[in-house]
Amino acid sequence: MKQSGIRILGIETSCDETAVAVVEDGNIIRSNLVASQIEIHRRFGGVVPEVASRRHIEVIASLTEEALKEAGLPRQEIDAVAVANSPGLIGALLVGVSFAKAYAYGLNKPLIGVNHMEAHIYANFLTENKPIFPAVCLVVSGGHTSLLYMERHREFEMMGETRDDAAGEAFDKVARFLGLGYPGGPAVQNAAALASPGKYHLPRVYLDRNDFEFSFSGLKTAAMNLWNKLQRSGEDAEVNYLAAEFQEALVEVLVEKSINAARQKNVKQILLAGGVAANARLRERITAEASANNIQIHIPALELCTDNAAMVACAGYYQYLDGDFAGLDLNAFPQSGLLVKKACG
Amino acid sequence: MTSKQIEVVSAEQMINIGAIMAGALRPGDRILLRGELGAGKTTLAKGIAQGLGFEGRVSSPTFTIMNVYQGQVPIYHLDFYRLEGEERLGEEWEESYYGDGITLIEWPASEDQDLAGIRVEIEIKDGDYDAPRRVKLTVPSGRQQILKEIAGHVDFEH
Repeated sequence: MKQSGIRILGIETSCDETAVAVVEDGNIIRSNLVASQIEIHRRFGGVVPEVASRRHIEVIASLTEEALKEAGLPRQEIDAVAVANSPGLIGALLVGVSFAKAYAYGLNKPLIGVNHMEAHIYANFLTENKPIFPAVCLVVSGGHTSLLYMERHREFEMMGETRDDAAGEAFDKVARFLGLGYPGGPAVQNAAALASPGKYHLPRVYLDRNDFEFSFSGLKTAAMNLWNKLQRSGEDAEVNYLAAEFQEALVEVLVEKSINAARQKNVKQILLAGGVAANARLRERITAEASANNIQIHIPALELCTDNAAMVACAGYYQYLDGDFAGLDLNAFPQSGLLVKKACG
Repeated sequence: MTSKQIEVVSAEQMINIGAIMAGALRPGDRILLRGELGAGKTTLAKGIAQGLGFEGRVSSPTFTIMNVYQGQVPIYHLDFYRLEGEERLGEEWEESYYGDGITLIEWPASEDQDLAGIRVEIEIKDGDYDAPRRVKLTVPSGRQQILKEIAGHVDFEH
């Protein structure tokens, strides 16, 4: 097997985005295309699986051709096809998986099944300045809020996760409740930028201060309850100030737990991953706290935090190096389960 | 159809009621959970899953649409919050609707009514999240046992 010039075609269709990318040697992005469905879903206030699947089918073939063209590579020069096959919406995942299988079979190249959440973590490796192990990873998205410990490539130990709502889900639901729009993360962030936290008070929900479990359902409820009370009382209910306080309460817990996790594991690096890693306040606060504790923060570039296929190609590259290939019977799974390869000791 | 109402004062009590309900459920049962954001639908689902012997994590399926837990029977925990205005009876859901498990559906659509046996409506009075929730349980005829089980542990409102 060749040692360099390894080009992986990455395919991502787990949710809203159809994405295709070509990545060389795990960190040189030759092309990275995303066809977003957010405009379509905005009308419904959320993702619609049947619509998502149909849109993926419509664009995936031409997007792949476009990605290869932009990479300046004929199809035959791809070394493997990597596809996100879990977790996500089953119908949506199957579009990418079926397409990847056919493509790999047609080109006679190996097929690689990638865990979408693992790929989010690997977005941190799409750079010259790669993270150093051991590290702690904070994975925050619409469906996940987890702290993981990583000692080497492709091995994860779950330190803690959410017991109810994921951070991104809380953002989405509160944004919708307050009438701020979809997707909720950017909507809350934009509203919060026009105000400051502290005018209202919302709880910081730590559960046990000594563990790494999260709970955001209570914060969501507290925000909605406060909003209802303000409206009833006839006081000036200022939505931007409430958004700012909500964002602060959520970010504060994420930051403190991540720093504590890094200290407990005695690691010098924290990797941020997932769509919520695009939140400006989280990036700002965790960077400041980490630097005060002599810890380095790794955050993927903004466009690599949200769903994309370069991260899938990158995770696929490390599986390629291990010879971890899938058969043409590769299936899609809605729930994760693959992410944690080593139970918490 | 028979309906009963209970006042629920805490998340712990909501979990407890779910666990009691679980004792009277049968494979193939479908439970529709209705209520505003933050009403306690996922909390009740957690109690039902625990009562069915599942010891793992029950979290909100809003993003994944469906979580599957392995209790004494398979438990399908669905959440149609993000599926507004769209067909929900496609083949991806067939196993969870018509299989031998127990299906819990948050944010069901009106067409799901035809599917279901047991309905749970959780009301937040006047939008006050600090106040007790009013939980209304509706069971089809022949399934009053579910209500009897609960009546053995908590008082229904009259």
